[in-house]
Amino acid sequence: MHRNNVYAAVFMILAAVLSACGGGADIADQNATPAQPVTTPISTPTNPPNTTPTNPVTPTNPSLPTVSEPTSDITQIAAARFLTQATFGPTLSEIEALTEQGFNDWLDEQIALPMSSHQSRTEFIFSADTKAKAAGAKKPWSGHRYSAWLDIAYHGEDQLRQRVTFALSQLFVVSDKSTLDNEHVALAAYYDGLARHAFGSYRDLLEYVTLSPVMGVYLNMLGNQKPDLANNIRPDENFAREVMQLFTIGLDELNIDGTPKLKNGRPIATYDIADVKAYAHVFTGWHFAGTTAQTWDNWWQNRNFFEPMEIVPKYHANSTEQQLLSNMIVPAGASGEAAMQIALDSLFQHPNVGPFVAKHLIQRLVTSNPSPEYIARVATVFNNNQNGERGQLADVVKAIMLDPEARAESSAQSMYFGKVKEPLISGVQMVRAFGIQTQATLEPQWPEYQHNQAPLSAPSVFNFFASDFSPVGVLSTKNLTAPELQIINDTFIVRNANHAAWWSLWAPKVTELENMDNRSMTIDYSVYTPLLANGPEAFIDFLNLVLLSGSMPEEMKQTLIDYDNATRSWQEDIVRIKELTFLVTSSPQFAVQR
Amino acid sequence: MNRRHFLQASLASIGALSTSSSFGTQLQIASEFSAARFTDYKAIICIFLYGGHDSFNLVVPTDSQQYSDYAKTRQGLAYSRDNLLGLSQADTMPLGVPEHAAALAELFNSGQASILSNIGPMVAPATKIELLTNDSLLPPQLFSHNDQQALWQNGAMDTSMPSGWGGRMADLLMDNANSLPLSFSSGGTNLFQSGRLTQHYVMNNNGIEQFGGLNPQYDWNEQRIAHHMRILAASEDILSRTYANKMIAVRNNNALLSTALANVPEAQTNYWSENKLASQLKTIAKVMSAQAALGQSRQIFFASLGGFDTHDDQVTQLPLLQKTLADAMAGFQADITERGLANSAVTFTQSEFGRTLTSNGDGTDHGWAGHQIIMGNPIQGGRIFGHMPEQVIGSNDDYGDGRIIPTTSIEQFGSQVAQWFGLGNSEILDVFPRLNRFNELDFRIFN
Repeated sequence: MHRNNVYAAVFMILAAVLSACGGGADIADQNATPAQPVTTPISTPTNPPNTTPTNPVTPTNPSLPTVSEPTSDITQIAAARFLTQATFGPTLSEIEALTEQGFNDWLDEQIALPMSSHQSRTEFIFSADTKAKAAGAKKPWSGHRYSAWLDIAYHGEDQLRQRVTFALSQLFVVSDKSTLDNEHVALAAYYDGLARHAFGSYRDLLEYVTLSPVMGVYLNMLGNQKPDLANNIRPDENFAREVMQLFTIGLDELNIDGTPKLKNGRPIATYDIADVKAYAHVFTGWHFAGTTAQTWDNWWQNRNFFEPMEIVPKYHANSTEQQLLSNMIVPAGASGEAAMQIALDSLFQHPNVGPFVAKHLIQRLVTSNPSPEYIARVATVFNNNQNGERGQLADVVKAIMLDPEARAESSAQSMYFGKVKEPLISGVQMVRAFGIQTQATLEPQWPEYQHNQAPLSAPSVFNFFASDFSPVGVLSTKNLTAPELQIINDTFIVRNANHAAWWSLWAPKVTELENMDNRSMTIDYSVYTPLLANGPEAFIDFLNLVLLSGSMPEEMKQTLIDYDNATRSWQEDIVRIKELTFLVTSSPQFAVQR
Repeated sequence: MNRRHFLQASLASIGALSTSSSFGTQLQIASEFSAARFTDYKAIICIFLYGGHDSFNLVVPTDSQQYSDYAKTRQGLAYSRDNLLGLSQADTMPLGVPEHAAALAELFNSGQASILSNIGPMVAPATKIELLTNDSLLPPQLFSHNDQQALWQNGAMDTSMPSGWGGRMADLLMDNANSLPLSFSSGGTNLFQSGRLTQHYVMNNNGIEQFGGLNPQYDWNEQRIAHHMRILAASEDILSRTYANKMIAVRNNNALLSTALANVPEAQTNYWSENKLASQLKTIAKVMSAQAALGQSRQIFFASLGGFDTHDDQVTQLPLLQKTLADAMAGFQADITERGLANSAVTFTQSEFGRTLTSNGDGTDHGWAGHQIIMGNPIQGGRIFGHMPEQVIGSNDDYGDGRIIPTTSIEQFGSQVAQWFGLGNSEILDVFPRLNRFNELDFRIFN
């Protein structure tokens, strides 16, 4: 079949249609009705990225796999697959652009882009929400923060950084399901902090998180104090435990390929309770910036969620030395700041960090069950990026995206390759693919209702799902994990399908939107009706490319054709478009990426 | 011969049941022991308290010396003595619960609830000295939330066991793997109800989620549904096939449940509104009412309440949580009593650990043993089951820093539940593979 020609035809029709409407990605800006000008800037850069753009690295170490040079031989299918992993969902114009640009240049360009700010977006959306103000809101609610996140996912230019940040937010978990439930500007600022470090050094990222007052409140390091035996007080161990278990090294010693090291056939624990206590002692004396010994107990006086925590020496435990991991020791009498640096170094230098971080990022971006070899290749880059630097995340992300295991065509993949998409991400993808029309103000949103997920809103520090979750049946028999299925249960498998209906079958025309109370955004499906000129195939091919990265089974394609044939005689063209879209966006094939 | 030996002998005759290669054997056994064998109805309701409940601060000594020890140990986190409502029991030292848990005192004193004292994951019975000198006697990853949750929910002393003891019971009682599950959760996906063969049905608090656009109740969806089903059948890879199968199962189960629930009356009991646990239990009570229509003689339920990881601000947070728990349990017991189901149901709490008797200033850290609540007409109510430690640091019960060593294991407790539920001795060993490390408890929880 002349696939490339069909896609070219699709693109030309769409390009013609879209330019008549005034443009590509900025449909939101161009197509709003004149009476209500849309004021939705694409992204608000406030913090320039820390990293300078890197040139593509030519590997000199012969043991590294060679990365295929980008050429215009990148097919649209390959581009769509890549964008499904690296962004919040491909669009036709982005697919086209990537086939010209090539993967390396795309990655470098993305890394250099200014970052979108969740804090700014959240504050902007709140400031425009007159209803919230009328109800007495003094500061942004959760719905404003979630709406900002969605807006950036839909429209942000820095897609790679945002996608990686979302993955990092599931590693360095903080959540509004805690005493932070009314601190949404602070949470958005924390998210921006992760984004700022997403392409920098892991060591800097770890320090940022550790000294963040948001994390300090979430895992109780803020206000943690040295022992007071008379009052049966000993340092809180929460952060000490979780920083090891969840943020750096995990529970068991790992080989570089992520498999556990074994001693007499059993895994080897990375730390024990004595280690937890040692770190807990080091992590004492920290509080909101500006706190003094006198104001230590009056936490509200110095309440400041936006600057790193500071040490109050009186409450820092340093009367004895502390033996930490990686053979590092904090000497007795060391200052809190010095002790913290040693502690963070001891974790950062642990050989587990490379495979631990590599596996997490691969699972969030590419595949749930990476081969040990894939993990090893990426962990090797973590350990040493060829400039002798450890923990450089931009290089790690590139290694993940350019690895042969990520880039191989579907048909060349192992049958165990791939992942169930996170429901929040597939929910964004199905909208991003078509472009979004919006009313003047962005309303608060609550994606958790549909998806069982919302940014910085996990049920606990253990994230939305366990990385080793394996549902009963074929997957568990084959020891395959599918973490996302843990939150796509009987209730949410229905709600995710209903989300697809909301954005297709029930999507109002743009002109109807202003009369609706219960929604402020829709998709203008009318721009796609010209694709039906010669039957449903051209539109189905479009859906196959942008939503399924070309993986649509023949039988599924035939089913869609049959459905259109059976129903078109009484349906307007725009309804036919919506129906075909719904059948794809509610399908298991769309729920999965390979 | 004592029971341990008897159980061991039965195990030998069945062979090892805990490997996946023996599924065939299991299915054979299951078909002899399916739920069709019961003429009565029984339900188990597990309430999981996520975070680790400071239950030593729920059941508190009231006698002057012991109270004074408690207050000295707990310092700023101790409840005031005036604030305590007495539990009338003769099993152990005088005890009370704080006022905000009045609903629990009421349940206890009216004989509808009891306390399982000092229970937690145990490798084997061991003294403090043995535990301090031999690490292999400690449960793996003690004090880690997710690992201890796993040990409580899987009852197998194995942090990587992917099935729970509720799920393993369901595996033995189900009629076949494709019928409606007998396990329902209002508290999310969980390990407790995950079986080796069976899954659990996860509900939301409004009951059954309806498909829009794919709802078979409406004729106009017929073509769409038919083609959607064809697309499900066109799933080619292992992940999309898994997803497709889930959609099909949900469609079938939803239809069955909707029909059965349509005739179930709403609760007459006044549950507390704004109580996250109560709304889950309310839904569970309705599904219990539908058991006859569903043809299920055995049902297993799961609800959950989070927020118990009180490292900070415990003085404010813990009372709210304990009140929520007590009120919800009381409301549920009243509801099922009103529905005529009270003789058939047993409800119990679990939590990954108790907490330290020492504090970090304004909260507590991860402990080990804790107390759990068990409720229902089938149990002996108004009892304290098991050893009640004193709340002092450095006692023989204290592993260190006020982390208390359990004296009742999950297997010992769970096996009594399984027995009440109707499982035979060899089945109980399949559910709790390490049961024979322990003696039988010297108390009977059930009447």
